[in-house]
Amino acid sequence: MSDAPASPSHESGGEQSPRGSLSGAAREQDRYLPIANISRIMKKALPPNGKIAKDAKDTMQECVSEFISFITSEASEKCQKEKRKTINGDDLLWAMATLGFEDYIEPLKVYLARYREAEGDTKGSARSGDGSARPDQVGLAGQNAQLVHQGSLNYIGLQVQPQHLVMPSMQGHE
Amino acid sequence: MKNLCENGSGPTHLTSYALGCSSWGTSSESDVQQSSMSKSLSLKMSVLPQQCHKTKPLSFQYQDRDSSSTQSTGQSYPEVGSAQSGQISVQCSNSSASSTHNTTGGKSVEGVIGSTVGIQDCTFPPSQLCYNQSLAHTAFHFAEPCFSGLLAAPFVPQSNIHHAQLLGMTPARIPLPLDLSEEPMYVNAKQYHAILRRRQYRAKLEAQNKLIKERKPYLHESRHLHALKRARGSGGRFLNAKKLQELKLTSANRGLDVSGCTQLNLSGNMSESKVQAVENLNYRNGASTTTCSDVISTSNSDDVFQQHESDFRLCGYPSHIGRNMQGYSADIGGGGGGGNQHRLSVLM
Repeated sequence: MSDAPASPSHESGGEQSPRGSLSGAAREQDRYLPIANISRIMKKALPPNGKIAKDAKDTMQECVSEFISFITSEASEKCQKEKRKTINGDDLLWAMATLGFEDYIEPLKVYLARYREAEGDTKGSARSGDGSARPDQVGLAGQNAQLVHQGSLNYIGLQVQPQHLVMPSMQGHE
Repeated sequence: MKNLCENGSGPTHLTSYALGCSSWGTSSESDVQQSSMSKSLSLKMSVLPQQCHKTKPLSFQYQDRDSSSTQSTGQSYPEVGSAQSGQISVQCSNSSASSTHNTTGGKSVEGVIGSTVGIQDCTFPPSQLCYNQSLAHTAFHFAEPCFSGLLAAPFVPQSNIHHAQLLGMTPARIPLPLDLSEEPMYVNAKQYHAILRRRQYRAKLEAQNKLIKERKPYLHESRHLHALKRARGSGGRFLNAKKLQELKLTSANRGLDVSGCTQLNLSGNMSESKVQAVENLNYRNGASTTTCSDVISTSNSDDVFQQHESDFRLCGYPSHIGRNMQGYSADIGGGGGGGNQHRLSVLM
């Protein structure tokens, strides 16, 4: 018997207060990562003229969101047994090793060490409380920071188009 | 039920590792054992295998061989012998710890056992032998899943270890029960419990009506309306400020009467935007910048062709008007090579 694991939270900004969410139904941003950020990551692996279909993006969005919940639930269970409330990066690495993703351990150990050197321990120790915010923050901090930054760029990009003009059209014949 | 098997196999691996395996494996198995030990279901269930073993030693051994041949054909007989001795020691070590947890979680444990019994009956028909020699009905109700599970699951991790050490192959796979399909889906043994936990969590969300049934094409209504109102160029992509100014200058120079076509343009915009709204939102700003730079490099006449093409696309003219438009473009197209390219695009 295991308790309900914490679901991952979204770190990227730019999300306005949702008006389109239905009452009683869960919001899409609570269960899934933002699809624009996912497609941007996928495009980095494609040639410049490559395109990605809509269903491919949706499928990848569900896969990565479930993968995060999968790893986090394993780490969360370990923290509950040890009477700890905060999931840290080492817990995620342990969870990946337990679930058979040993190939990820070495690169992520290097990443985690460099991240802690760059950011310092004060920021990490300051965060506490809900465990769902922490795994993304620590384990995937670089990725999320990049996503947040690109999200800001998108927001700035919207301001470039202040005018909205309906295109003038000509007669079908002269 | 599987948790008990995982619990039973932990000390066995630890014993085998003590003989000279890598330290990483030892620490990993220690973690697995520690995590398994704390589960109340595993501890409560572990009392029963000992009783079964005492009452039916011969049938136990028979079940042992049968399960071994089913689960891992690569194993040799001496390995089976060592595994069996490991199981016996596991049961002895668990009995004292289990006694302290007997009274915990009785109701929920019974519920879990109810579901587990059904699965085990389908998986291991030979386990029916336990029924004939059962002392009491309640004892049988608890004994059967423990007995079958204990026989089956400990060998899977064992075969994992042996295959990893001797053959260096991928670890063996454990059957995952599925309600819909007839044959089981085989998954990584390490991920078995986590997958079941995630399934329970998703079922819980389904019960609370929190799963996302269908996806909306957009998250925010206001942003959607804003995207519908934005000016679009050829191919349906958004225009940036520079391109808008150029269009203004072109329309001012030509001095066309656009009042009649404006309504058609609006209706065309609405119908097409609904189809392309989601797709267009994913377009990158860099792409539209590239389009703008291409347009800047062409001459004024080419710009006119660009406008023709966009008008044809956005307004949704009937077919006969489209033909007239093509003829109109052909007349102007006699000017140069750039016009020739645009004529080809119009024809396509």
